[in-house]
Amino acid sequence: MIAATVALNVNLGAKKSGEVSLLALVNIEALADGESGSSCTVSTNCYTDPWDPKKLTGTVSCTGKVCSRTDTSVTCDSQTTSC
Amino acid sequence: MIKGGTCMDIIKRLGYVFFISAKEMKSILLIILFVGCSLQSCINNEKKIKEIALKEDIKIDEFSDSTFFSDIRSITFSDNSYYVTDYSRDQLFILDKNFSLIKTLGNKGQGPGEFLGAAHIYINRDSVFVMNDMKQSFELFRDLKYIETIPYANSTRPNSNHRFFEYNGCLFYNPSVSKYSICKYNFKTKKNEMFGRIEKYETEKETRIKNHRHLLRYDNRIIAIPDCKPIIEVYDFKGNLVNIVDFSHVEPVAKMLKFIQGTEQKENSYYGFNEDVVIYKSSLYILILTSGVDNIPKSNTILKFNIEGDNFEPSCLYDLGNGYFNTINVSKQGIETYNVILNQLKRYHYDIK
Repeated sequence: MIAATVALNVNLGAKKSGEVSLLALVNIEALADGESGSSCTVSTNCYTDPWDPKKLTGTVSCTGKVCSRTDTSVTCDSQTTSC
Repeated sequence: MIKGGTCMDIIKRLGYVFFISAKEMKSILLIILFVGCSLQSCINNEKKIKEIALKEDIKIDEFSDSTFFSDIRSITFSDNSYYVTDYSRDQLFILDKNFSLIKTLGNKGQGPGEFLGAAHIYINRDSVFVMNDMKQSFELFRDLKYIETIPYANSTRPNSNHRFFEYNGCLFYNPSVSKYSICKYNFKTKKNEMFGRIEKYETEKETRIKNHRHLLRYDNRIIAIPDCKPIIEVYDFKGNLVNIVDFSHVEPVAKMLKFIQGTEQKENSYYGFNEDVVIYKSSLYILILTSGVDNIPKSNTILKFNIEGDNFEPSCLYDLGNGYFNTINVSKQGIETYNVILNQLKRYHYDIK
């Protein structure tokens, strides 16, 4: 199994306008498996309430074949998990 | 108010009918007629609707300047150009009708017109609004130039996977709160009002999480579509609920419902019924999730509804073929979408007739 970790701030061909600390909060881990196809893991940080970016309470994450995230939720294989 | 009952509803009605008929024989004929009509309605509701496999028109997996996209979240067509956001690149791309790159707007960052999670786009005439997820704002562009950043209304936090719209100087979006499903935000006066039905769950958190909605405008109506319920809500602009249309009887939706009912229910986690929704002319298109193999739902089917007044009639299913699609757009050019697995921006031939 080949494992690769991809930080979200790897910007494919995009111009970059400066470092953004929020991006450090985000991880996407891609696992390549030659036999069963690839899988992915996404996570996002959660706060005391959704409007206070200072009070970190934990993270939500999921793993699946198709992954995406927003600032308040992660979705893997159509199942959404929210902060 | 909910249209299109299930057969179980009809059977319950039948039992009620027999109880009444023992008392009033004169009404038997009328009741039989009523039951007959109801059963006919049930049969109609459960009929299989037409399925059409769409044919590819064009597809790209990189822009014409040889840069790559990797996380497209929204596609909109306006004034002979496509507007496309990439959540990872944090940019808004303007493409011509053949998907050739015309212009790129924005960059990653927290400054004016910059993005931290470029998500859904809404275009009203010459105004282009882009939901800016982690910056918790909408970015407004006009004539391909940045105009202003509009922070979300106080105490609201929309999920960037859901549609919003602007109308008469107000932004309408799902606020992710536990009491209302629609926020009307006048971004000039900074005043907002909230309305819209909410389905209550055991906890405040669960209620907030499981009441997300896509919001669309159709003439003088607000169309609200929850991501985890197979229903369509219709509101007027005063905030009154006008209709609720239940489409759980449509075959692939019913199968998905059965699949979800067999899974563990958690406070902060749920399976969705749709990935995206869009209205074009007098039809609503929902990119629905369907039950797939190995308990992994698929997202490659569009369910089309004909809009008739305040009612929505399922009329056709469109198969996009292999892939997992996260957003759709319908335009005079065809149906545009993004295949997450193959990282392809695609257009399908589509004749609205």
